[in-house]
Amino acid sequence: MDLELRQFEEELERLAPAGLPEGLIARMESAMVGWQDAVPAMDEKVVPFPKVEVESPRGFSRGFWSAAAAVALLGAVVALVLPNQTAEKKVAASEAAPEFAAVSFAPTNLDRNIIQAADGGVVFTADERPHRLVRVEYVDRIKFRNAAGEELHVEKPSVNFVLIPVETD
Amino acid sequence: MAEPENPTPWRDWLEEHGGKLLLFARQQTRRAGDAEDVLQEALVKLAKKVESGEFVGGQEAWMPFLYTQIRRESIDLGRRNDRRKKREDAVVGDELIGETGTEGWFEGSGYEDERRVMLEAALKELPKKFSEVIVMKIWGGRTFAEIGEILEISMNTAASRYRYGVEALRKQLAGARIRGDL
Repeated sequence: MDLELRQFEEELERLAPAGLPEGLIARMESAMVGWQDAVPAMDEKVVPFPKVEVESPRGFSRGFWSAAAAVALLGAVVALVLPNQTAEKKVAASEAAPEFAAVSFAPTNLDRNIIQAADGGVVFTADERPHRLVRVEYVDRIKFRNAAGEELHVEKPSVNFVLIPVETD
Repeated sequence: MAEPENPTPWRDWLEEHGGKLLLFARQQTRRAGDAEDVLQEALVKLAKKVESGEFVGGQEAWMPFLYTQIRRESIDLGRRNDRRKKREDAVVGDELIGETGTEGWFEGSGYEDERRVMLEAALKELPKKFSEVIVMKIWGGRTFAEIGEILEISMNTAASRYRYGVEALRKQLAGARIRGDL
């Protein structure tokens, strides 16, 4: 166990559990002395109160079906109108495309370099399993090249947190 | 507070060890009242076994017996409470008993109040299988071998649960310090 953890352990040891209050000691003492009279804990019977039933409508009302029909009709109208709009947008995009094509770069190489990895300690996931949290800093270097042979270098620093399961059982 | 007129042979022992056992019972149960009930059940079982001559071992074996018993009683109580809650939910809706237990788990003296409160909260947030080992080891003075026997796990499992539990607890408190809670 490392020094910091040992110091923390010593700090915890300085803490003392709260003692039993006098009334509780007396209660425990009397229960222990009178163990013959003790009744073991049983699964107590719960007498249910009559449940108030909330009347719920059976099936769907006429209003529901009218609303559903209205939504369906609206959907059909939208479906008829939308394809034309999409087609117009596609034409607009392809008109502008040639300007970009001449300078378009394609990625040719990707390098990932880990700069630093730091232990973030133990954390518990929702299923109560312990994991070691590791903070990883890295830089992605991406090389692009276009048709003219020109190169573009991009550096993208990132931080990732990785959870590594630790075995306890 | 005044001492009772006729203290029984159990009193001195309860005064010395009761706090450790109550802490464990609190850690094992969800409500303060449940912890006291569970502790009482366990103590009654001990008294019965000791006085009827059924108990195997000397006084040094009482604590491991009681830790085991408190844990069993808590599991049973938890199951009973779950069944009762399901029945109550089915009958009267979501009405719940709101008791959460406001009494502190630890003595206030010799320790910074805020830090004690934070530590108690952090301990309650830890998964039970980790905090129970910490409670028994640090405040119950049990060895990993004893804890392993009480929890029916290997000594190594007990030791690693302790280590990771303490580490997580320290991390939580360090986080509280960074956030400015401490």
